[in-house]
Amino acid sequence: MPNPTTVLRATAVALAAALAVAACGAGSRVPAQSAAEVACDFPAPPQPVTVNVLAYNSSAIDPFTNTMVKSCSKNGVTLNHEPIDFAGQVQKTTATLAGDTGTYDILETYGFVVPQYASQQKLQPLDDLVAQFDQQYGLSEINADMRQALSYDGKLYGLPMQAQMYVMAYRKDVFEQLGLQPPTTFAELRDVAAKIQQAGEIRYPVALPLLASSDIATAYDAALGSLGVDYVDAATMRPNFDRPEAAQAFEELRSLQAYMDPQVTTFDQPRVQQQMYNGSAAIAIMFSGRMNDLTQASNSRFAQQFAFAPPPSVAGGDTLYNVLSVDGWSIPANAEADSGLLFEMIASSVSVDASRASVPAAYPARDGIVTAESSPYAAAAQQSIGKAPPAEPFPWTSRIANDTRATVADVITGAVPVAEGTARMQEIATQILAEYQPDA
Amino acid sequence: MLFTVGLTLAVAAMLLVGGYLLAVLVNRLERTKPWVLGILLISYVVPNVVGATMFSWLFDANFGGVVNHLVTLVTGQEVLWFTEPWPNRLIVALNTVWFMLPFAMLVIIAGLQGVPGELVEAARIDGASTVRTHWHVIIPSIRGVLGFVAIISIMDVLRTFDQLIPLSPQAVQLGNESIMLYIFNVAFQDGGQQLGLGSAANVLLIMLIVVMLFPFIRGIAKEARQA
Repeated sequence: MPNPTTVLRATAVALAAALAVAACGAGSRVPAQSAAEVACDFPAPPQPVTVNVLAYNSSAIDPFTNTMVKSCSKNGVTLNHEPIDFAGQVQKTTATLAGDTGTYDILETYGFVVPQYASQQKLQPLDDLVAQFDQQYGLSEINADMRQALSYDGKLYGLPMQAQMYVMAYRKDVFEQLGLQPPTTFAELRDVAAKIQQAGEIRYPVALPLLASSDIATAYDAALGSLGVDYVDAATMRPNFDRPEAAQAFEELRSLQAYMDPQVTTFDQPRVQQQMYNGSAAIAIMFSGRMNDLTQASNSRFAQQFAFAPPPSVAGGDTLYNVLSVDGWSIPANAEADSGLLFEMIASSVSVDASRASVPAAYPARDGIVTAESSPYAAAAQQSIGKAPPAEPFPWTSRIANDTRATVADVITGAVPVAEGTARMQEIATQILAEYQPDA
Repeated sequence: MLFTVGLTLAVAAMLLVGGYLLAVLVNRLERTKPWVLGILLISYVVPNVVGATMFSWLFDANFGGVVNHLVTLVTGQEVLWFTEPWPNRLIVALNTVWFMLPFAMLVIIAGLQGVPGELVEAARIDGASTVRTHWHVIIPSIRGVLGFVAIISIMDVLRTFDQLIPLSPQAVQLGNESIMLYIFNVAFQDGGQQLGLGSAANVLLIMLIVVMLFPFIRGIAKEARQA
């Protein structure tokens, strides 16, 4: 029988080695120091003020957050921003807006959730403040469509900072070697993926963020939008999941599964990036804010081999497999600090200088900042943004997306037949919409 | 709830058995004991979500996937650790044992050090085997300590949450959604904030914890009355 001491030592060494091996497998990545210093000229408040900022960390959001913190921490004002991921931001936003007082004074928000919070009067309307500070911070140059995306019921509830839209990244070396062109439809995508697969080097050429607990609803929305259908017919307040396009969107997404990792429904965007970094995928479609990471030589030995194109359309129409998401800054209705002071901070972080400094990591909301030469993927982003399905700026949209997410995942994983899934989604959406009917 | 209760029962049993065995082995060490204890405690001091993320990389081909690679090498089959229910349950349970075992071991070592040496010596002189000495002498002597480990383990595992984020991204579809994850999803998931329903589920969880702890609390109270 082996000596227990020896066994124990070996076990301890194995445990430590397992930790080390796991860490080595991951590599390491340090975010770019992109903070710019810009004018943030608010008058000094009579008493010291602490402003808490809630914004998730990503290469596209960080430039704006860092600029605000760096430029506006002065005159007795201290800005606090703790690093946090997107899920953490969602959780803390819910918590801080739940009561009469909150923890945060400035929130990062986006078009998907603004209508819901605005309809519950949890955010301050910003129109008067925009008018007051327009000249000082050049706010009228912010893209009108993006302002619209952060508006609800005719009022602006978020000051747009940047937009994200789907962009397709692909390995140009692989495409050139096999004589392929970037696909413009899902049918072409399947064809291209099959050829890459047949070449033998890349087993699962396509990588999409289809995380069952989050991204999968966005992917389905993008597919449905590309087929020209919204979740809900806003005029009649009737869900569209009983239309043929709702089933077609599922079939089209499911048709890509043969070319994707069998565990793709556990992949969020960072994991899709990782597949591209590793070379285990050759085509990825995800938000533009993730593209800059692909171009960094420190992240991948294939950094110089990545090329970018607009995403394909699902069935050949003008509207692409795409989602336009506009990020912005909002002021909670329960914020205690002076609204004018808070607004000057957010306005400075989206000023001309701040917006210029955010390129190429972000796609700023100001007109004319991004040109085709701004980054390797800027041209693709510009083409993509013009062909995105229209937003659905209604308070029920996010609720329907959330409550149908599990069903979408069940259908895409094959656990539930398409017809049963769409019927279930129609029922869920109908119940939610009933709460918003005028006589409800 | 079935997943949470099943995981709790399985992991608590593994912690008691594994913690006891490990504690007995470590307790026999002399000069190297502090070093071995220090190394074994690494998994306990690493924050859950960080440890679970690193643990998930052992099974994820995208991040090296050492264990995944070895399993494929040995069995010739690719195990879908994150999308198949039972392999996923296995890695969640293993991870939970991995980070909680040091605590169980540490508490049991403290208990073992309180067992009178004469008692063990007497058992040996009477001809008791090692197994019988442990079963009939040492374990009854540290019953209270084992009860404490069981209570803490049950409480902790019933509140399983952090490690499911990296280890079970498809938890809902796999039936591996713990009660805490369900509460989080109901109360905080993007676009579906239902704080009231989440709070109500939380209260029910507290009741479940009390029910599952009842036998152990009763045992400890009984022991305290007898003392």
